[in-house]
Amino acid sequence: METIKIAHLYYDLMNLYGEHGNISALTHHLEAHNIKTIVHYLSLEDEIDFSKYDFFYIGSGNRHAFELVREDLLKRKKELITAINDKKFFLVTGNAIDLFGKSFITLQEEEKEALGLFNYEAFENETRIVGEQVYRMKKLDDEIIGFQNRSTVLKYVKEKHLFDVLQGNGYVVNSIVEGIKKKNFYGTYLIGPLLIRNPHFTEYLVEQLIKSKNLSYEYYKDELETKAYEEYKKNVLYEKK
Amino acid sequence: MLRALQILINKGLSFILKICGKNGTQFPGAISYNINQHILEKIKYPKYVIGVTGSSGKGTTTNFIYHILKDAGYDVVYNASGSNGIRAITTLILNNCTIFGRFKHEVLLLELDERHLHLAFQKNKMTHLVITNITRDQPARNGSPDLIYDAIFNALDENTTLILNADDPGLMKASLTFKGKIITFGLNKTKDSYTKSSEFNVDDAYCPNCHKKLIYSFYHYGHIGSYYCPNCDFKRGNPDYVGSKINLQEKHMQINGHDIILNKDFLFTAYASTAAYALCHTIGISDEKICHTFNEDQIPTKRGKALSIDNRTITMLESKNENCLSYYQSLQYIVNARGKKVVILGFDNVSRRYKYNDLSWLWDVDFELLNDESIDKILLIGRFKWDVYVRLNYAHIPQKKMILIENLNNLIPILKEQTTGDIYTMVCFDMTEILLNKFKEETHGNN
Repeated sequence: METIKIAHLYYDLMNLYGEHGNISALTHHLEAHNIKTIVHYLSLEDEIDFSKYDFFYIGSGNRHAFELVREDLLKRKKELITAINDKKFFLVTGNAIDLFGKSFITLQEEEKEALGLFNYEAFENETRIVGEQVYRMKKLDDEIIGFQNRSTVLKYVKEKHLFDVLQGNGYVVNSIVEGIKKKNFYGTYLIGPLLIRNPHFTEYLVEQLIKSKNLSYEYYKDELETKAYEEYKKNVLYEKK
Repeated sequence: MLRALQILINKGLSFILKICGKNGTQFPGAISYNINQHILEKIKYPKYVIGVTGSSGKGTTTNFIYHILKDAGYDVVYNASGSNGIRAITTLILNNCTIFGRFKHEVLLLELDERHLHLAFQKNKMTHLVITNITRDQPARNGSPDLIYDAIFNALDENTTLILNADDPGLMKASLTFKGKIITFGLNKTKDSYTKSSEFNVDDAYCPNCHKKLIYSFYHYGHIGSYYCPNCDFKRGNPDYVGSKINLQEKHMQINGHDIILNKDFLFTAYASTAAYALCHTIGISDEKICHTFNEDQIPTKRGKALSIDNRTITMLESKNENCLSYYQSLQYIVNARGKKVVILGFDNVSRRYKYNDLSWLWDVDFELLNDESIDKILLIGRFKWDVYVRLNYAHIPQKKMILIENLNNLIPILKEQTTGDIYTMVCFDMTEILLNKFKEETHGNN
């Protein structure tokens, strides 16, 4: 049986929005494909051998946590670049996406070094951006749903976007695109948890992951998650007023 | 002159609303506050201005403090309605002033919204502030806990004596920077304390001083417990006021060695009792008098009349959405209760304050606790029942134990025909009233 190794990075710091739900969904879907999963929970004080894992996840954190993680990741920059270039899978949700651009600029205009793996800059915003989001991903028929609760925006983005915005906000307020996709790196401000609330997107990720291992893939539909997704769209998102 | 006019308008509006049978806690203060946002700076405050704030437990703590102060002979005014925003506070304060702006009572006691504290006390500072805890709570409104902390502490200076929950490291980081006096309270280990946490929903796992990971000897819930930093002096240590020998089932505990009767069997009640004890003792009320209030003039609970259906007791536990610790408390209570149980769970709206429906917090709640033999069935109600169903499914609760209620009119028949055991509702504010009416209809008010 094939095994996929998952690293949930900074699980005890970047844990603001039910982030471990993403790991639960990922392992559940992989196991539905008869793939064994091993999850390691890793943080500041751990040795991390990036070559050992297939999939990395980082969620949202408060300012204090974000600072600790930013400083810690900078020390691991070389290994991170290698991992991304080696087409390891990364899913980064919420404000963790701010860590991967060139810099992070505070409201006081202090510029802090970020990982510099991608071409964009994160700016703290005067007001928080909060609300329901609906996006479209080109390769998927159904919309991506989720929530945003963030205090930063991305500017000067030169990378390929992940989603088109149907409702809500993109890199900045009212922009029409959101998220970063490069090689097997997927980054978005969406919380939800993203993979729980969008079983079709989870399957898309799982498909890419399985195919990267040269295994055959057949779509798995999680009936419960799909029902919750449909009900949310019917009762909340597109509710007739 | 303007001050006198505003006070008169406030009193007049409150009077009119009262004789019209309307709730006048907010409106008069809203008018006064909108006319002049600095009106509260112009009040001559009494010797004691006591605030109580925090993410949870502030209402109960305020209620306890009020009863102890009153029993001790103090002339106290407090926001008994629980309305704790700037408008309601403005109404209360102006209604209790002379037209010359002098507060007429000996003590002003306020339950305060964390985000409104700085609006109420921009210039004049409180003499005492009790902070119960700071945890993730309504993030769509509050952001993350560090922002709540900033909102509170930006409104304070060293003239306020703080009464802090020592078990909360995110709150106790104040000891590193706050220049005023700090008194602490905390609870010793209970039978429900645990030593290992998943840390998926822990707000402050690292030392605020040197950023090393904190070591816990036990957790009460979330990041609340007994901790120390292995690298520096930051630690919970020995609080000034310690709750010990906590027996929730028997509704009994000790505070600094004094026996105390709890008016409810919740851990939060033990925290609120200890916080109230700490505040009241700090301002000079004797142990004997405080104990007298807890033990002789027992403080009434807000719990309503007990209801039942077919001799099955109904316990309505209000669980605050987007506050995983509020849910944890309800879950713990249900699991600890004796006998078979049915749980009713769900909500139509995440919040009554805003229209957003973030569901991520469902994954911070330890629903795994419901995976217990004593739970007969879980009935899921409300617009988000399928999302809750998915969450419970991931908590490995057998699907045969869960019933989705599509139409609330079927709730009572399903309860009666398909479930056994006492009934516990664990719903947010929007569903409480609806369920209460259904239960009352069923029992024809006989209970």
